[in-house]
Amino acid sequence: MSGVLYIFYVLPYIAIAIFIAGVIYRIVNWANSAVPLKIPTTAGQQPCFRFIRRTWIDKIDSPSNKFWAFVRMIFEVFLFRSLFRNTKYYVEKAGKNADTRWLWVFAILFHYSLLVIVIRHLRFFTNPTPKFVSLIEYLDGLVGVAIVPPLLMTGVLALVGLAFLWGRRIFLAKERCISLPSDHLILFFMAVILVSGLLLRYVVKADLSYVKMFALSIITFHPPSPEVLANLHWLFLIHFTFVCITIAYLPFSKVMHFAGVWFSPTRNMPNDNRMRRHVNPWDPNPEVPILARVGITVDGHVFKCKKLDWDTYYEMYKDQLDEIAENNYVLKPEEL
Amino acid sequence: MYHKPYVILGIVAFLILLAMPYWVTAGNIKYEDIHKELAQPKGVNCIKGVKWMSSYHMELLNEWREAAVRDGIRKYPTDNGVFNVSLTECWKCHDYENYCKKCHEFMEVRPVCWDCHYNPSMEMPTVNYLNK
Repeated sequence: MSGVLYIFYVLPYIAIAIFIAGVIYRIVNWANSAVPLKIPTTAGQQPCFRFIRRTWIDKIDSPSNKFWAFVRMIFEVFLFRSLFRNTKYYVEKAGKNADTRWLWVFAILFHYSLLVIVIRHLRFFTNPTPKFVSLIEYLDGLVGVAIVPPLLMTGVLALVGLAFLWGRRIFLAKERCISLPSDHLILFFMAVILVSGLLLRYVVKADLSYVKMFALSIITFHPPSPEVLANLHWLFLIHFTFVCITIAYLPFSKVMHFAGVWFSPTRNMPNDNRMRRHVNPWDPNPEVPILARVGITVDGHVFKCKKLDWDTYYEMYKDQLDEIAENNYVLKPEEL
Repeated sequence: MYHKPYVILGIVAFLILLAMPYWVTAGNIKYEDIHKELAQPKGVNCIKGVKWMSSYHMELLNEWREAAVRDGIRKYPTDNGVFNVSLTECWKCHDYENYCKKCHEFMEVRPVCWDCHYNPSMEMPTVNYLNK
């Protein structure tokens, strides 16, 4: 029996390995995709005549160089500024715009609560525990005023945030339409982790000494004794297993927005269309101005037709079209 | 790969963030079998079962606090005998320094008890009027 329990010791290593490899794979994959067009979205005054006033908010919203684009990125990542502008989602009957910034409120509550929760969990993974971890926990529990053990605010706030973010996908018709099973899956994982964690702290209490010894054994690569594994609480094992499953699932999920946000072209490009020329990386000869060209070049072939007719189209995508035709689909030009 | 230096910087930042437990402690994480280092309690039976006590002792103390302060109940009968409702009852068997405090420090648990109460490692003695 005790041998089987070593699954729980191996599980986090497998999960972390999948997580690191998956994240790096996806980052490299995104970095290999070209951005053919310059498409920054702006909400501020771009540099113009000197007499047109331009505040620092304009500089963030319409960055004209790499530095301000970086500042905008930082504001985006830490304050979710584009979500804060989420005010025109619902157009009501009278043509009035509804303010849906509550989404920003609950998103920021949820994300920062999760951050504090992760930092608080360092108390299991460090020995001796650094001072700032205990300080954060002390402040999080409102300096121990409420109950014993102190009710940690971030745990409650994360649960409230999660309830709204999931409730939004369940009860609002439009969001329900565009929600994929994977959206619900990751929220389900988060719900199981949060609820089991809160239960472990306030209701069904585990012997934490074994939990910490287990956590230390993972972080120091020191296999735990069978005694430690045998004494782990069943609810802790549920909590822990779901954390591992979630970590392994992250690279395949939408949670990859933590890396993807840095790659969003509408956010990370400076708005310098008129100062610097953006060269399409796919363009084989960028020196020739587009309007002066005879046709378009695809895969080394020049197609000298400005208005695309069927023959040219067939020439361009011969391989794919033939493959489609092989599967008994009838291909014919559109009747005009 | 486009913008290679930025991408590599991002991946490195991601890996550094992931290794947080190591750098916040400057690589100083010690595996400790805390159960071997705790002083063995003197008595035979604890107030309730050992397993229950190790997880729920704080709930018992909460219950005791309300019983003693609000209702004046000073005796607590369990299957293992009748116990005085007092922290000193714990210290009859458990060493404060090498048992309670050591494990709490290992777990980084800071009970707020000592904001009001004294404990054996403090200079002022615990007022134990039950022993009179």
